[in-house]
Parts: sequence; structure tokens; C-alpha cells
Amino acid sequence: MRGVPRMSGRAMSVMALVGIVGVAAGHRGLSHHARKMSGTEVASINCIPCHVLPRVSGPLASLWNAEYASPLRLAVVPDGTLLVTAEEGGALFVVDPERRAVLDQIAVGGQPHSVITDARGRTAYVTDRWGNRVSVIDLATRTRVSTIPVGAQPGGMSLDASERTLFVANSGTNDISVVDLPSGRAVQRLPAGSHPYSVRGSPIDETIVVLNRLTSPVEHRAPPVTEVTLVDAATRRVVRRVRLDAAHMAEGLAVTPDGATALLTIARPKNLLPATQIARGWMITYGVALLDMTSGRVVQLLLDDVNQSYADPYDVVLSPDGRRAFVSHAGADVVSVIDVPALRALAAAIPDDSLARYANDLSASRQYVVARIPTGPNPMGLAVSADGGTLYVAERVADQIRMIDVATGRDRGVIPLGSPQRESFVRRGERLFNSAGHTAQGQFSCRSCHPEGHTDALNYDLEPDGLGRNIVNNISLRELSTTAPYKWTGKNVSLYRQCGFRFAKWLTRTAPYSQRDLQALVAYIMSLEHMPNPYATADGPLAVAAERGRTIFERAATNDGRTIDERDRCVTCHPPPLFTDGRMADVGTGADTDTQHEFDTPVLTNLAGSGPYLHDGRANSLEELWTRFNPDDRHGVANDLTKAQLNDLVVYLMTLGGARD
Amino acid sequence: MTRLLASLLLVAAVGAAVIVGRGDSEAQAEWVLLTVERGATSPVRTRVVAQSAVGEPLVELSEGLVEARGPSPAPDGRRVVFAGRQADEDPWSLWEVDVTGDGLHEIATDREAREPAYADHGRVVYSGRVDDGWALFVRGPSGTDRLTYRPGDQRWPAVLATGRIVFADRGPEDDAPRRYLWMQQDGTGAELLIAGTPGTHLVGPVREVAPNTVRFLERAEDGTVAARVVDIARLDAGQRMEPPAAPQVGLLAGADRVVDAVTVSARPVPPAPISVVDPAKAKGVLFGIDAGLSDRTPNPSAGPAVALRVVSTDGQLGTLPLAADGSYFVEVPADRPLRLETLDASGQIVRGPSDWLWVRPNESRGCVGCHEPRTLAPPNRVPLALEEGPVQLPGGSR
Repeated sequence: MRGVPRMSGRAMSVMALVGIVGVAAGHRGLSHHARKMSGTEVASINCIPCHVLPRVSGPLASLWNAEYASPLRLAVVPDGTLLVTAEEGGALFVVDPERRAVLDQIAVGGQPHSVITDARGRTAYVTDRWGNRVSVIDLATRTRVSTIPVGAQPGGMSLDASERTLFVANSGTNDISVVDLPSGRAVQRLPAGSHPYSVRGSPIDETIVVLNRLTSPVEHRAPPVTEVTLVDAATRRVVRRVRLDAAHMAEGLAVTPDGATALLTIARPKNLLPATQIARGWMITYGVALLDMTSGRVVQLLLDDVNQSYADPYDVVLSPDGRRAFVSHAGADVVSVIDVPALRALAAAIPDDSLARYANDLSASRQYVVARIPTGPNPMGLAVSADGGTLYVAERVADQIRMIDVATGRDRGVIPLGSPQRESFVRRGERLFNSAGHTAQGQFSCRSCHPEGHTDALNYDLEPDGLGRNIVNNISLRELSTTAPYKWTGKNVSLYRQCGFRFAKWLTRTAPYSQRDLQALVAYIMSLEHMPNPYATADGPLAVAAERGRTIFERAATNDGRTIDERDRCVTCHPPPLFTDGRMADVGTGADTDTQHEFDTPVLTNLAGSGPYLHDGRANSLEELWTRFNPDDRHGVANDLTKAQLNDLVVYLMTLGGARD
Repeated sequence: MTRLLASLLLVAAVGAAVIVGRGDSEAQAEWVLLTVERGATSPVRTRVVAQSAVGEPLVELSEGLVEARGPSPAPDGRRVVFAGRQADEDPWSLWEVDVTGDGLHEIATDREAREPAYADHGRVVYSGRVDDGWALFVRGPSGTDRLTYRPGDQRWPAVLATGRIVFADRGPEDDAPRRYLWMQQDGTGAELLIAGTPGTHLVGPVREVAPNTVRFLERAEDGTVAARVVDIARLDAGQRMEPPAAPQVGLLAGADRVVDAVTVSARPVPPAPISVVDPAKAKGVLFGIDAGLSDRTPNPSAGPAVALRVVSTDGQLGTLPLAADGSYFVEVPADRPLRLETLDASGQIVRGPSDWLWVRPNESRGCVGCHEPRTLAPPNRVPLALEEGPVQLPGGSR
């Protein structure tokens, strides 16, 4: 070892001591960090689940992540092929069920949602929720021939009888685009309810049924009311708005072959009751609503059993003869088979004054649910083959289509869509997020209240902070990774804590997630992104009104020239980029039933689709923040603003969050 | 009377043995636990043995005990717990042993204990003698906790795969029918599960034969015993089945016979919800959405219900007014038998008293109505009574 300076024994001892102290201090610091962020006494320190695995983009992310197709909705072409929208694959898959093979993938970009075809199977239409457009597909050449811009976050569609007009439900803008197909342009917008989601045309007349997913604005602490919007395709007008009382998350829609009844899948939340127990439908029940297309009468009946929930009914299809209905339960991994004549007979026999009671009868399903067919994880879109012999089920997080014999209920196997067999960490979390298997009696999944990671627009009464007290608005889970603390009270420092021990104790009422499952679940939640904000201006200057609104948001003086204290300016507590300072504040919105009046200052990005507002959801609109719930200017000085100025302020707020490609 | 009870127990045991006999879709099981009646002893004694296959030697599990019965296997498929006693004058207690016969040891209890079953993570739930009958207890690393607080007998606990405990309950009256109730593993949320078929009496424990499916025995008035299988998800009337023949074991001494057989197979540990019970608290709360919602006929001479009275075994705890929508919200002493009855303006009982119920410390318990149909989910509305906070009862303290 000549030439290498030799270290004295004393120096080595010092270095060793420093090293030991350093490692010990580092370990102590990391332990503290892990305990603080997780809210638990973690046994080991592992940076990877929190800081590496949740990353879904970047040069190295592909090492631990994978891309999946995520089949969502289905359509059968008269020639027997099956069309599948791949929600995360950005494509329309053309599948040959006989050969169990994917024939083609037609790129449609963004986030494909629904697919329909014309009667002859020559043309398919695919909505793209991310790109706000409809792709027109020539099925002969399997190419996209055009795209048609529509409203924001388009979902379900239906053609009119002439197949010259396409009606598209725009979830993001709460309206229906009327598309003139010969010209390839959306020529009209019809106002819908809240979050229009599915569309079906009547087989016997020009009625187009549009099912809205979320509740329309209701009085604070009133049950949800979700709308079914009926459109006359001939006149292109809304002809009736039907109420689904006490129901929401209405996603699946079918119309019987005789055109007499629309079958709608629904959830019936119990958000007004304290969440003290979840057995026997105390949190959410799931069912179908029968809409009489002539009279508008609605009968709601449950699909649950007395002691078993069938969470998240997503789609419903009918056998060609209309005698069987199939409902996919996305959270329960089951398809319910319904005897439609029995269902309709019961609905007809229920007197009007007994409708509310029947709607809560957990034993009624014995009369019309004739089978429960197990599926793979997360069954969503359904379709029945043209001959009526096979039911196709899109198993979204399994990336496959299951085939079920309609007559016998037997499993005929699956058609894999070619996604990686490996389940990534984030994908595991996505599967858990969409499963109700982790709640007592399968009552709900995370998705039940956070569809696509967003919000169900309801307010809840949770148990640990008192019954009838501390009502909280359910917020979106999108883009949460840098917005700690969590909960309106700001008590949870991390999502691990939010989704951990107390979540199991007070909500799911069963054993908590394992540490690995919890980490996967949080990784998935941290990967969630907002949809493109339809009100944002991509990289360009704000519209004139929004620019005026920004000036108001940042103003330091009232209209009459008085200086606004810095603490009372909007931008002080809501600074960019997330428009929150991450601190607690009392802005005078505390109710008598609130234990504390300071709340976590909310993020203001992507506000348009996240109402109602305030910690307890009492404000149905942004305007109400200032016109009803800020009498003393404690929530920012705003009472001097004119109506026009408030409009500008609202326009500006709705642009926050930015547009995406 | 004693002979009658003994006969019934024997019928129950044989029936249970039949229910869980070897043809019971448990082909992968390694061991069968047998309660064997010693025919040569007087009075008749039972012992617990294990057998790995028909014709294989019997392994004594209750060696050294004068009497033992009711073996129950742990989810790991290795350990077994049963009730036994070392001498005639000893009270029955709990014993744990490896299925191979090794490591027999007593699980200490502070009272006579019977009918043990494994709950989550090594805890054992069992029936224990109390002053006025039998109640259920759970024994775990942190000690023993009493779970049930109804007058009468709570016996034969069975832990379902979902973690819930199903048990037999019978009131203190001589003619009280036996019913199956279920609850969480911390004793919260207890409610009626199966009332039984009219004209029959429930005998013995339930056995879970498939997820959400239990079997139990019913004895008709003419003494015939049949098995019934009930889907507890749908909670319908279930299917009646004829009990098959007793299992074949072989190798028994001349007069010995099997009165109970339980197949041992590894299974997942039942999940246990994180308990909301806080032993430091002495109370829980009850709230009801509409006390007027009931399937019981109201007292025809009474007026509309305007109040609710809470009663315990030792008298009235207090009365509270019903809110305009029929709702109520009341703080009640925990771990104490309670009954509710609705009153009209003159204090006459409109409906009631209710069945006995209890809340655990810190439990919040909601009801749709008062003795409403059990198949009814609650309506989604804010009970007015919640706006005022819980009523404190004058007699509500321990």
C-alpha cells in the first residue's frame, strides 16, 4: 500500500463515530418523517413506495409502471365484431369474439369513453373525454376519418332514427351537443342536469334519454335529486326533465324494446345520516330506476340483498327480447341478472304512496334478481351479441373482455386485450380503489364517492366528530400530492393517514388495508389528474372578462378606494400555483354544528366541476360564496363588488387549473 | 328435565356432526375433531379426540381431563380449543392443544366457560356463566371482555369468515324461543339474524358451510330434527334438508360413539374491524330515524307517540320527547340491557317494550324505526333530533 497515506487509528475512530452518529441521526430523522407523514408507527423506512412508485411519468417511470388499455364501454357491430373503448389506452379496440383476438387498435387519443355504431355497422362514433371531441371511424377501413369538437368531457351518445344527428352528453359542461353529421359540426347545445353521462334513443320514437350522473343543486342538507333529461330528436328540444329523488351516480341506461321503460342504474346514498354503521344499506344502497317513458313515473328498486351490497352498478343491457337485463357492479365484481317482466310487474303494482318504502326494501331483489354472475375485477361496460347468446363484460382493471353464456350464465372465457400481465404498483392501487371488497358487506368502494377520483358532489356526516355535527363536503382526490394537509380540518398530514387506520375504523368498518395495499392505494390516488379544464385558456392571455376577474382577485382596494387589508385579499390565502396557502383559516363560514371554525384553505384549481362549495357544501355556486355566505367580508372583502364584477371574478376562478393538450 | 336437556344436546351435537361431516366439501382437510361419548361411564362423559383419516389411530386431545367437548379449530388448522374440566368438582374452562395432541394447556377464565371458537388473531370467544344465565366473552392478549348484555342465555358463538359472530340467544322466560343473533367481534351492532321457522325450535350452533351461508338444526314439535340452510345475504327462509347419517369413524371402543365432528382445515383469519369501543367511556348513544315506523300494532287505546322511554332491568332510566319527525337521540349507559317503548301524551305505552338491546362504551347505534322490518334500509334524511344533541337520561349513569 505504498503511496496511500495511512490513516491514524484516532482519525479512523473519529470518522467511525461521526459516521455512526450521522447514520443514527439520519435514521432518526427519516423515522420521524415517515411517522409524521404516514400517521402510523411504521416499522421500517422505505422511501420507494411514497417517492418513487407513485410517479407515472418521467424517463424512469416505465421501469415500474406499465400502460394498460382499461376497457370501459362496448358496442357490437352487426358483423359480430366487438368494439371496445380503451379508456387509458387512447384507442378503440376491434375484437373478434370468435377468435378471441384483437383485430385492430384505432388510435382516437385522449380518454375514450363510449362507442356506438350506425345500424349497418359502417361507422362508429367514439367520445374522447380528454379531448372534448367525437372521433368518426370508418369500420371498413378501420380508420378515423374525422373528429368533431363537442362540449367538455363527452360521454354517452345516441343517433336519431335518421342517423343524421348525434346527441352527445357532455359531463364537463352539463349539456348535450347536437351534432349534425352531414356537416360534421355540433350545431346546438341543450342544457342537461348535472354531469350528463349516458344516452340512449328510444327504439320506437324520437325520444333521446340522457342520464345525468350527479345530483342537481339542492338545498343544503337535502337529499340528492338527479335528473333524467328527455330530448325530442326531431325538434332537438328538451321535452321533459324527470327527477330521480334520493338517487345519484346514475350511470347505466337501457330502454326496453317496446320503448315503454327506461332502466337506469342508481345509487341511493345515505349522506344525510351519521355514518355510524354501514351494514344493511346505512351508507349506500344500489339499484335500478324504472322510468315510464309515457307518464314519467319513476319506480326505484334495489339490487342489493339484505346483508350484501352490490356496489357501483355501472352499465345495464337487455337481451334482444327484453326479458332479461344485465347490470354490471363495478365494485362487486358481479353481474346481476334481472327478470324484466317480474321487475316491471312489481313496479306497476306499487302504489305511489309506497314508492319511498319500496325504494329502501333490501328484500325486494329476491323477486326479480334471478342470478349473480361472478366476473373478474371491475366489470363496467356491457354488450349482448347480436344473436343474444353472449354477454360481453369489460373487466376494466383486468384488461380483458369476459364472455358469458346468456342462457346458462356460464363463463365462456375471456379475451385479453394485450396489456402487460404484470400488475404495477399504481395499477394495484387502482384495483383496490375500484373494489368494494374492503368494506363491510361490500357497501362501497372508493369510487362510489369519488368517481374517477373526483367527487360525488355530496356532503357527509361522519361519526367520530359527532352525530349531526361537522358536516363535510366531499372533495376531489385529483392532484392531491402537494396539497397536504388533508380533511377540511387539516388533521391529516398525509394520504397514508387519511386512508389508513381511522378510515377503516370509521368508514369501511373492517380491517384496515395492509401496509402494501395502503401504499399502492395512495400511489394510485397521487397519480390522479384533473381532466383538462374546459374554461382555461391554453398558454394564451386570459379572456377579457377573466382578466378583469384576475384583477379583482388580486386587488388591494375596494371600488371606493379603501385599502383592503392584506389578510382580506383573495390572493393572500389563495396564492398561485394551487391557489392555497396550505394554512387554516376562519372565514366566518363555521356553522353552529361545527366544532371548529378554522378550515384548511382549499385549492382553487378546476373549480367548475367540484361544487358544491365551502367546507360543508352549503354553497351551490361560486356566486353564493359572496352573495349568501360572506355577509361580513370575512371571506375576503367582496361586498362592494357589482354583479358584473362578481361575474368576472367567477369567470376568472373557473379558468384556474390550466388547460392540457 | 335434565334428561330432556341432555337428549336435546345430544340431538344437537349429532346434528352438528352430520352437518359438518366428512362429505362437507372439505376434502382437503387433514384432521377431524371428534367429541366422543364414553359409553362405559356413568354418568356419561365426553372426550375430545382427533383423527387424520378414517381408520387412523385416534389422538387424545383431552388427556387428563375428566370431561371435554366442543372442539373448535383455529384458522391455522393446527390449534384446537375446547371446553373441559379436570375433575368433577371443577367448573368447565377452556383448553387449547395442538391437533397432534401436544401442548395441552388451560386458557384461564374467571368463570365457567363453554363453547369456545377462535376469533381474530388468536382471540377466543366463548359462553360464560353469569348471574342470570349465560353471556358471551372474548379472551385475548389484553384480557377478557364481556360482549353481550341481554337477560337470558347467549350461547354457541360461531365466527363467520366475515368476522361477525353468530350466536344463539334465548330470553329468561321459560317459553322464550331461541334465535340467532349476530354482532361484531367487539359486541357492537348486535341484532337479530334468524328467528327460526314457525313451529320449530333452534337447536345448537350455526355452522358456516359456504360464504354467507349457514346451516343449523330445527326441532319440530313432534321431535323430528332437520337441518336448514340459509343464505344470510338474502336472509330468506332457506332450505330444509334431511340430516344424513352420522359420520363413520371406526376404532371406537364398543359403547363409545361420536356426538360431534368438526373438520380441521386452514382458513383465512377472520377480519376484525377496528373496534370503536372505548373502555374508558361509560356511555354510548342511540338514535332513531322514526320511532313510529314499526311492524308492531300500536296500543289501540293510546294516542300518537310523543315520547320514548328507556328501561333497563332495574327500572326506568328516563323519558325523552320525540322530535317532530319521530326521531330521537339519546345517551345511554353502556353494557347494560335496555328496552325502549314509545309513549303518548298521557304516558300510555303506544308500542313496546322493544326487544332487549345494549350499546358498548362509545358505540353509536342507529335504528330505522322501532321494531321495523329488518329488510328496510334507512331513508336518507336528517333526523331532527340530531340537531339538538343527545338527551341525557336522569337514570342514565351507572
